[in-house]
Amino acid sequence: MELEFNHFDEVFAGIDQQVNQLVRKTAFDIEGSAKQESRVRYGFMRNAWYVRTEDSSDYTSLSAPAPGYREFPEIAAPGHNEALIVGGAAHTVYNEYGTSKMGAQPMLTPAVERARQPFLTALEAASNGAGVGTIAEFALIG
Amino acid sequence: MAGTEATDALTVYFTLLKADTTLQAFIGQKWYKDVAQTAPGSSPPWPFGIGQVQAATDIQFLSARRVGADTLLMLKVIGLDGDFTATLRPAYRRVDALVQGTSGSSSDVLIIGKAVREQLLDYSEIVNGQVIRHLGGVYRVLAQ
Repeated sequence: MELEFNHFDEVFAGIDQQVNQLVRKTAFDIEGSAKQESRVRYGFMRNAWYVRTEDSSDYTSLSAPAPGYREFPEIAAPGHNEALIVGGAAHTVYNEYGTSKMGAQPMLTPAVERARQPFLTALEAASNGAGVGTIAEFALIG
Repeated sequence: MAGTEATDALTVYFTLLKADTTLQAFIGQKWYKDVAQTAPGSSPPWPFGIGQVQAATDIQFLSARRVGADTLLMLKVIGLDGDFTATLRPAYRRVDALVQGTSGSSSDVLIIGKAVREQLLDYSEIVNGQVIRHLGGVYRVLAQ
């Protein structure tokens, strides 16, 4: 009889937990930055930003401060270790990318760019800390 | 380092787009930075093109020597929905053909590597009862 023993399950669970926390933290960091970059008249667009994960959401239903202000319904939950940063106000796209008469005020794009490298660095550190090399290497051996 | 790498990179692509005769047939040389320049109260000059810096992240060494800016440029064409098939779509296809995979330079900036589109933009707005289409893309370039 041959018994094979290893700690793969514990290692994978540890990686998964760290990645999950990292994804959530990054998503909330991006949401915070997007809110800071938002144009504000009534604060409707700024307050309509929210983060949706597989088991959480900071979505709140907002009252329209003036005619024409609309909010999209809350979106469905994404998959495991995924997070969606959502601009819930219907006019968010016109601010992010501009209209025919108004220049863009990018909110989400610079927020994502600021978070990109810290996220990748932390992701690599998480995998290295687990002793399995980089995520890329992990994918190769997986 | 000029200190204005991202804006200078946009100028490089404006020069490229304005010089193309195929694109001129669709929108002339009506390319504007950020927003179309029109007289107060007058209608925008449909169709036209807009370019804007969406994000720019400096890349620098610990010695504080900046080596460039990781830049996201938005390039899009804007026009009436009724002109979408005949004008806007072929115009943006030409824009993409000219920009995607292209580098460039001017006396102010060098585009390192090649522009790569990371996102397609296709959305509409309604202005005075008219449907206005926006068709374009967000391109990543490394400007030095």
